Amino acid sequence: MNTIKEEALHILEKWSQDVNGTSRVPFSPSISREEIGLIDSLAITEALFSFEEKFGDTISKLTSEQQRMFFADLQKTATAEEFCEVVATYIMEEGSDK
Amino acid sequence: MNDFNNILEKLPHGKDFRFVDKIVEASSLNKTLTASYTIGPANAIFASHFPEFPIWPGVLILEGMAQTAGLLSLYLFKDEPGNSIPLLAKIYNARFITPVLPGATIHYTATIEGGFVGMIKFRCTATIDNSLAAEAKFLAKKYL
Repeated sequence: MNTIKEEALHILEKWSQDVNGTSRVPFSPSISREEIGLIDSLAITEALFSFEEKFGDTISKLTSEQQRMFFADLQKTATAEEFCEVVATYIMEEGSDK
Repeated sequence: MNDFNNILEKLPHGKDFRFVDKIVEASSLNKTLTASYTIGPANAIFASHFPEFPIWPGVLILEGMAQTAGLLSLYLFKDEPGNSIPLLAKIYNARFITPVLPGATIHYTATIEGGFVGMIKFRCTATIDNSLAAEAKFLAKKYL
């Protein structure tokens, strides 16, 4: 689980750098979700697609109800680390070949 | 009226802002749809874009892609009550490879790459005579 979460953090860091630039927002696991721009459904969806590129078509396999629960749980998170814990729980365990 | 014409009729754009003429093919299995649009040489756009060098505007190529993505959504979700086109949320990775000239027929292809809580990711291409003229990715949100 930790390994998957760490990989998720790495992907999120790359996403944050692509969106925000490397110098403006120094990334760390404790950085707030708002600071890296994960503030609305559009940004969250974009970030999730980055995970899919690495771990396969996992989001689409979730039912509509699972997606709603997933999104609600993501919105409750405060930090990048918490965000990645939720991601690992919902999609990356299934999509990873580890 | 066949199924494709029915889908085309549901596109909400008025006649002056339609940049697709016909649905060529579609596949529910592959989540893809191809539509075509022939640009008449006398189209009024060419009088201004550009007077000395008429080319079809890139923004209208993007609009044609977006309308094709809308048609794909209407086609795939045709059995859903209140089915409507998703609204554009983001355009990215847009590339314009060759100029599109008066008289050209553009084939637009939209493919769904993924989706999450009503947000759909489309990959779109525009080809002319089987050569890639432009491509882009879109995020669009379904509100119904």
